[in-house]
Amino acid sequence: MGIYGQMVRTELRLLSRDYGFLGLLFLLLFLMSFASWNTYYHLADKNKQLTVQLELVRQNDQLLISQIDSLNKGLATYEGQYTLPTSGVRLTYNNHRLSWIPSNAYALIAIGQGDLYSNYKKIVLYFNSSYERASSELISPIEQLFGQLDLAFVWTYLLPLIILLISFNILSSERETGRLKLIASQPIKVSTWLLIKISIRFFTLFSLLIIFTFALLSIFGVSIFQHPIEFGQLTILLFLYTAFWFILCFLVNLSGANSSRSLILLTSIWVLLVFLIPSFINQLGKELHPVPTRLEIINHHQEVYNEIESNLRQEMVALFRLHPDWSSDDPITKDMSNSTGWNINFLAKQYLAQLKHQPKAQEYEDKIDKRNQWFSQLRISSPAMIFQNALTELAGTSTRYHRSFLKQSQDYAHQYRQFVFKGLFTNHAFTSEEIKNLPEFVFDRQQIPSVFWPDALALIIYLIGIGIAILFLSKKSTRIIQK
Amino acid sequence: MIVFIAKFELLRYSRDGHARLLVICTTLMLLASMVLSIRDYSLSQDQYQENLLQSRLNWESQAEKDPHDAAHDGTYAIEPIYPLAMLDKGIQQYTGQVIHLGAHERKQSTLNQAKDHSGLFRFGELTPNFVLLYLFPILLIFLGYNTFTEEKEAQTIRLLLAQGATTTQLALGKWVALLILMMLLFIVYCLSVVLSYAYLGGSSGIEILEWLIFNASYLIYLIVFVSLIVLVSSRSKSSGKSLVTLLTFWILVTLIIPKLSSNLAGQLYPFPSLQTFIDNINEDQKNGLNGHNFWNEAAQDFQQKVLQEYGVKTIEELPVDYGGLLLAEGEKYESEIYTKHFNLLKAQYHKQRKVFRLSGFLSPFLSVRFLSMSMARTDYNFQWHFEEKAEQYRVVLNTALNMNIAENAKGVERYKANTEVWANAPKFEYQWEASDQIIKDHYFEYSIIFAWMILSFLAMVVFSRKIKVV
Repeated sequence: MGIYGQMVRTELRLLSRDYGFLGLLFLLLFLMSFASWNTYYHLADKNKQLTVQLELVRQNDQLLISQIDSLNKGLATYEGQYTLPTSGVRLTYNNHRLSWIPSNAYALIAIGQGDLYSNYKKIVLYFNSSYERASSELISPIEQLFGQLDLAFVWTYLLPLIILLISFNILSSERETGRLKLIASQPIKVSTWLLIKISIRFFTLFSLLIIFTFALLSIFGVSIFQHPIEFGQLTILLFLYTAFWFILCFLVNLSGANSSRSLILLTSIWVLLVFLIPSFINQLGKELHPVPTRLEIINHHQEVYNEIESNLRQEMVALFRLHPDWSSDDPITKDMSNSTGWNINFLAKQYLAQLKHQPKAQEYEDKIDKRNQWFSQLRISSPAMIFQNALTELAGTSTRYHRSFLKQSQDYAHQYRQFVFKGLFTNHAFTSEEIKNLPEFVFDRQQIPSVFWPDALALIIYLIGIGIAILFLSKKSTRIIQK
Repeated sequence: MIVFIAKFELLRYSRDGHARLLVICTTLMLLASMVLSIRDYSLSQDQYQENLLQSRLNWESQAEKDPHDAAHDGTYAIEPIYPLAMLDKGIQQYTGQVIHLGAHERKQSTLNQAKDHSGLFRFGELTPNFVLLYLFPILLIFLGYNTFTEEKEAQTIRLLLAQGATTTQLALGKWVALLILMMLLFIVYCLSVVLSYAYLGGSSGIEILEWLIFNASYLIYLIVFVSLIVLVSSRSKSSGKSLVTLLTFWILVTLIIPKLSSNLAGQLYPFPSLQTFIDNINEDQKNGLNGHNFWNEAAQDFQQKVLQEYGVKTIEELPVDYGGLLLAEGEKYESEIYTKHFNLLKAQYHKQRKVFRLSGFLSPFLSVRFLSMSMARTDYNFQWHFEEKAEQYRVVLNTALNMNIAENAKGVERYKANTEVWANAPKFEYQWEASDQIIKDHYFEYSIIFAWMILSFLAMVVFSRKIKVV
């Protein structure tokens, strides 16, 4: 066995006896386990809520279908349009639809924005959609403020600290204890010796990290073998992020600072990358891309609604010009003392207000997208931001996912409204077949292109950057070490 | 001797280039956070005032319509922003900014700003309280971790003891020096706040006493760190170990324990699902008044009561429109049901709050965070207070509208109120909760941070006596 093999064996033996290292590994395992458990219950809760909502829609539809059948067979009679099963009024008010976002296979790794958004949205036709209603689950805002302890948090924030704590003084401690001379007398360059030591720590930690991750994902029900590509992507991301912090430690060790200075320097870099840069960018983004408050949108909607109410006759003419197939000669549709007539009038006002309000609302959404796009581009200013973004994307819990879901829900609501309003406005009697074949929402993931490779590439560029700095410093370091 | 040691320590700090750099960087961060926060706050206040006026204007500009239709269309209660919110936004971004006040239904506030942000938002915002809670402690750690260990490593501690100083005096001297340094930074913060509010002029409306109490909690928090830094440095064998211990403490206190306690509180005392909450309300409302149902038992009882009150036998004989009376009574009844269920939700939050309060024993960060948010009126208690006041107003407004029907719709086919009714409808005027009430409600948190301050100081004094020099 050559000198390198001997070094590896000795280093592994030393690590297995290092209580500090083992303690930190145990802490990492504990935090990862708690984070997985916490996320698992968070997801289970969300899925339970979704199941309840889906079941509610199914039961309402089932009831409506059976009542239509009973009515057609002459087995039941109904008074009033609100209860008449074939009426558009009944369908509008009692049988809402649901749009929902299924959990990604790797949702366990990051709750992301999932604690802010519901994974479903009730599609109702009788509300002002500028004001969110009926779809926000009850959650304490304190919990949202402190955020969730998930694997993404442990890896993004705490893993680097553990790496710093096990690697900040590899070289400096040797010098401080006087063993560096002994090492220098060996037939190996000190920088190579340092590289081997740090590589062993890196591969040991990384291997254990992957084993922990694999075990935890399997325990908490992630079907890794059915989604091997995602696991591969997760492994690559973890590899790059872990390597970044280890290489940074290597660089700082090479600089020849004493243990405390090295730790201060590394911790300062950690604070800079994990806290300062992201928080500064957040504030700066608000400054450079100001988005007016949504209150303006609500007020605008209200203004438009008032205008429509004041000119209702002309507005209704315009509506039927826009949707000639909604127009009907049936007197019941014009009779305001009848619930069908009253609701046609009421829902038409809301629909018209929505149409007129839409450009303003869209302008607002565009501004948000533009700001988020800016944030997304600036994530390259910190590997922590890149890594966190990549994890939430992989988990399907990023803002991008949720905003795409809301957009798709809006499109679906529009499609569904066209279908129901056509029937309601013409006093059409809905059949059980039509209820069975109501348009369904399907979340389309293809609308969200993957950002895995841009994120991975950005992390690789960081690695290359530090690599160049190491090459630059390696000549200087020899002199520093010799001193 | 203590003064001499403190002076010597201050001299050491002033000569340390790294320390100077760290102090300058943190001060710049603080000033940057202040500038960005002033602009943010100022913009938010302008938007609030503008939208408040617009919202009322929209209400008053409604066309002629049935007052109950107007009640259904509703209006909005917009959350005001307290001047101290400039320094601590608290849960503001997560709770929404507005509540729709419509007929028959109490709603929670919505338009949660956090939803519009990218995921990077969860890294935090560079606000003054962020600098005070996270950056100041870590700066103090970097400055003071080696205050004792350096003396031990260089063996100068022997010289100091040989000159007659005791280890307690040494600890106190070093404590005073670090405290002075911290106070200097804190004064910079205070000055920047004073200048910020002066810049905002009359619009700030900040009360000095409140601001002092607000600052006191941060000051105590930082004193705790100063004492613990000296304590850990005095007990550590090397500077490296001291730094590692202090950093671990900082991570636990500011990052891990707050998350663990909030997740634990949510797991132990979860809020019901939205559907369960709605189902429970519907169940309670099922057999009660709802204003539109004339036929159920509760409506029949109410009808009898009204007839008796007016001394008539039939609805037709009533001098007022019975439908309006029923709507008004139904609104009150429904509101009581909502109040009952929202109070159950609030009670659940208070159970969660107990977890946070107890976690304060493990992390002073949590107690200070809650104290700061409470004074800035950006905590959950403010949210509840605002929502309750908005609900009271909703009932007042709807009662006024429904009673307008009762008084004017008798014998009128398809009664419509004119725009004067909208203009004369009561306005929502929110009164902030008084500071003394807030302080009273947070005695426990104040006690915890005082306990942290006293115990950490005592621990430093007691353990410094046992320092091993050799």
